[in-house]
Order: sequence, then structure tokens, then C-alpha cells
Amino acid sequence: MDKVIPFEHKMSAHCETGTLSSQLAFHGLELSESLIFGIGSGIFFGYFNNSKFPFPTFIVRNKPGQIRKNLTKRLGIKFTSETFKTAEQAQNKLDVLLEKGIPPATQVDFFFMDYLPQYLRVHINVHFINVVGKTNGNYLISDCYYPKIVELKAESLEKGRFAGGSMAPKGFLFYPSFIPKEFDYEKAVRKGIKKACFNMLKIPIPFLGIKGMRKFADHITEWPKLAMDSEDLSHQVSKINILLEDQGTGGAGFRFMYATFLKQAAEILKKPELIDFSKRMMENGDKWREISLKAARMGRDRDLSVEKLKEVGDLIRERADVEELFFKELSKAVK
Amino acid sequence: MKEKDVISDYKVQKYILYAEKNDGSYGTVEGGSYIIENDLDDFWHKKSHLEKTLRERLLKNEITPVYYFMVLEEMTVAELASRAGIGKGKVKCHLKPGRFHKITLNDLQKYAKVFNIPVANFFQILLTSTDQNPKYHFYHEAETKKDTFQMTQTQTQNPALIITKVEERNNG
Repeated sequence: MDKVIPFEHKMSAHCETGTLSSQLAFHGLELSESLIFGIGSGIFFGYFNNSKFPFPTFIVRNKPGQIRKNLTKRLGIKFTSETFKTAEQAQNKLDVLLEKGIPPATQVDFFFMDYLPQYLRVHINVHFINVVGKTNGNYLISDCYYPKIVELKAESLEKGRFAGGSMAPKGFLFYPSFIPKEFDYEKAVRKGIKKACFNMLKIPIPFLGIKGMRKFADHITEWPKLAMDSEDLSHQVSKINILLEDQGTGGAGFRFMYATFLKQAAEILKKPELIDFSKRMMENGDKWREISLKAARMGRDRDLSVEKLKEVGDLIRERADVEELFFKELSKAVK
Repeated sequence: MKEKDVISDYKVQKYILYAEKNDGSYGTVEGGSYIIENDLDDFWHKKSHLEKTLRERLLKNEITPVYYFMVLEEMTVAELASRAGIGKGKVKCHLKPGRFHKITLNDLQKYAKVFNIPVANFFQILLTSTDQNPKYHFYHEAETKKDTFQMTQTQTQNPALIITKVEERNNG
């Protein structure tokens, strides 16, 4: 079976929002990535130090898949989604959809995406790609981290879709099945911002939201005890930079993307004061970027004394204070 | 972040960044990664240091091949167990050198699938002249290109059997 669906490929900062944006564009709705991110309350922070991870790590966005669910709730866009028991069923369903001319988005393990450079390919189960056709037994993939549509072996795609492990994809695929004609953007944006504020400030779990940042700031000085040796510690500190900048965040752990969203929100809600919030978020992002650059340099120079780590911790604590105030004021502003 | 501050000369891997554009609006700008541009060599150095440390321990029979690959792929026992479809307790057994010899071919195949390697590589270490392990992508490509020979591994229809081919490099 050979089938190529005319799908407009575009690169984007983040895989989930980018995939959603291009899926909706294919079905005739132009929504920018940043707007999707904002309405889906994507901005977040969490610090994890448990047995699920080999080393303490942090996240800067909400749970994968949550943005899509929030879009459904707030804009009324319906998605058909499905998971499968066996890899065979999953590939069959994919072929059927492609034959019908529907390019679904599917969840895969990053590791098996052969077209990406090897240093990027780590085991992360929550990457989203669009499958837009099939030629010579290879699937055509529109991956928003890659500049063009690219071929991927059927075998690799199958392995990626059935990788197992935490947050296993189980062949998960989705595509928009119903898009309403009119939207209440105002309500959706307001809800998106409110939920983001709630997530950052009020979740009663000590390692999520602002509390997570403080936990991170306190705990980073313990890292030398947890690392195998100094090279390992250096790798882990450099990873702060990768997690904040390189893992598809649009820079500074989504803070720049959120600033862009707030500017759009100011227009939609007709609240000029949000432009000021947007500027503050941009400045906040700059400071996050300073942290990530500092971490990268420390990792490279092996400058990993406890005092240095404490400095990073202090910078993060400062961000926590700034963001706490920011989200408190933001939630009042959109009331 | 201002548009002019975006580092964008890294051609191999482009990223989309959000920044304040020259006209004051906010939007997407094509940029490159700071860490890949400046620290990629260092990244590989750290990876191969990790690989060498683990290999030394493996040669002394302090750890098992399963442990070796698990740490290289930055997985925990729970993650590996879940991915391979093997019980956690059993995986822990396979991490102890004293118990590893009881492993079954069936389990090895499950692990091999997770690590994306042939089963045979649990029992051998393939090295290039620069002392790097070529199969597990923890090598610097430029370094292995110095080798006169290149190694390829092809899976046969027999799941337990692979062909390792060493041939002279054409491009010199």
C-alpha cells in the first residue's frame, strides 16, 4: 500500500502542542501553538526524587496528554483516540486510517525515531508524531522536531509505539473528529490561565508547582552524594540545561512560550494589563535561561562544588519567589 | 529573550524558540541548541567515560551485562522490568553476577528488544581501534571514521543469531 496524504509540515517548539496545532490545521482550524499551550494550561513545574527515576529530575510542563484533554474540555474539540492490546492491531488501524486519508498523531518512544541524531535519542515514552503516509513499507512521519517529512521503518515505528515502561504508549493514536464552528475563546483562555495558576500555587503535593521549585533548590546540594562519580554529576548538571532548553520547550522551560500566550490572551480578553504580565514572564524566562546556561557551563568546566550548586539552588529559589507572586497576581487579574 | 540573542548557527539540529522579535511582537524564531553547539564533544566524552567505567566492572565480573545496558540507557529496575515484561524480582536477580548464569534465552531476547541490540551482544564487547564500543551509540562518529574497518551487525531470521561483518571502509 502506498499512500501519501498532503499534510502541511511545520516545525514547532514542543511535540504535543505542535502535533495538535498541525492536526487541527489539517482539519481546517488554525490555532497557534502558544495559544494551544495556554488554553491547555501547559505551564507547570515538578521535581521528582523517587525510585521511578535513576536520578532526581524535574518537569516544566503538565502531564503529557493533558493539553489535548483540556482543549476538549474548553473548546469542545473532540478527538478520537485509541490504545491497543497488540502491536499488530495498532499497525492495522494505522494503515486503515491512512487509507481513508486521515493522518493520525501517535505516541512513541523517542529512542526508536531513527532519523534523529543519536545524542537526542533517549528513552522517553511521551513523544508525539504525525503519521502522514506510507511508501515502500516505510511510514512517512511529520515530526515537529525535524525540518521535513521523513521516512521511518515500519519496524522502528512499531517498536516505538509499543515500548512499554512508565507511561507506555500502547500504540496510542488520536485525530480530531469534531471541530465546532464557533468558539468561546474568552472563556477558554480565562479557564486555561486560572487552571495554570491553580496548578502552580495550590496543588497540595510538596514537589509540584512552586513548592517543587523550592524543593529542587533545596535538594540540588545533595546531588553530589547521589551521583556515581564526578563525570556523572557533570552529566546530570548539564541535563538541567537540556531539560530546560532542548527538550522541545521553546526556551527557558516553556516560559517564553507562555509569555507569547499571555500577549495573545491580552487581545482575546481585551485586558491590556496582561501585556505587562507577558513582559514579566519574558523577563522571568530570561532568568531561567541564565540558570540553564550556568548549569551547562558548570557541567562543561566540572565546576561542581557544593557552593556552586548552592548558587544554582539560590537562583532557582529566587525564580520560585518571582513566579509565586506572578501567578498570584495573574489569577487575580483574570477573575 | 530578544531575537538577536537567539543562537542560530548550529545547522545540524534546528530548534524553534519563542522570543521577542525585532518589531516588539512575540513569536517563533529558528534557533540552535547552546549545549549541542558547545558541549557535544564533552557529552560524548562523559558517555564514553561511563561506558568505560561500567565495562571495567563488567570485565571483573562485578556487574552483569543487563546492569551494564540498564545504566547506559539511564533506566531504573522498575522501568526495565516494565519494558521487558519481566518481574521486578527476576530483573534484580539478573543484575547479580552470581545469579546471571541462570538467565534464559527467552528473557535475554526480551532484554535485547528493549535495548535494541542483538542477543549476542550480551556476551561480547565489540571494540574499535580507538577503544570505543561501536554498537551502543556512545561513540563519536568522527573518531570511528579513523578506523580502516567498519563493523555492521545484521539480524538473521533466527532470533538468536546475528552476522557481524567487518569490512574495509571504502571512503578511506
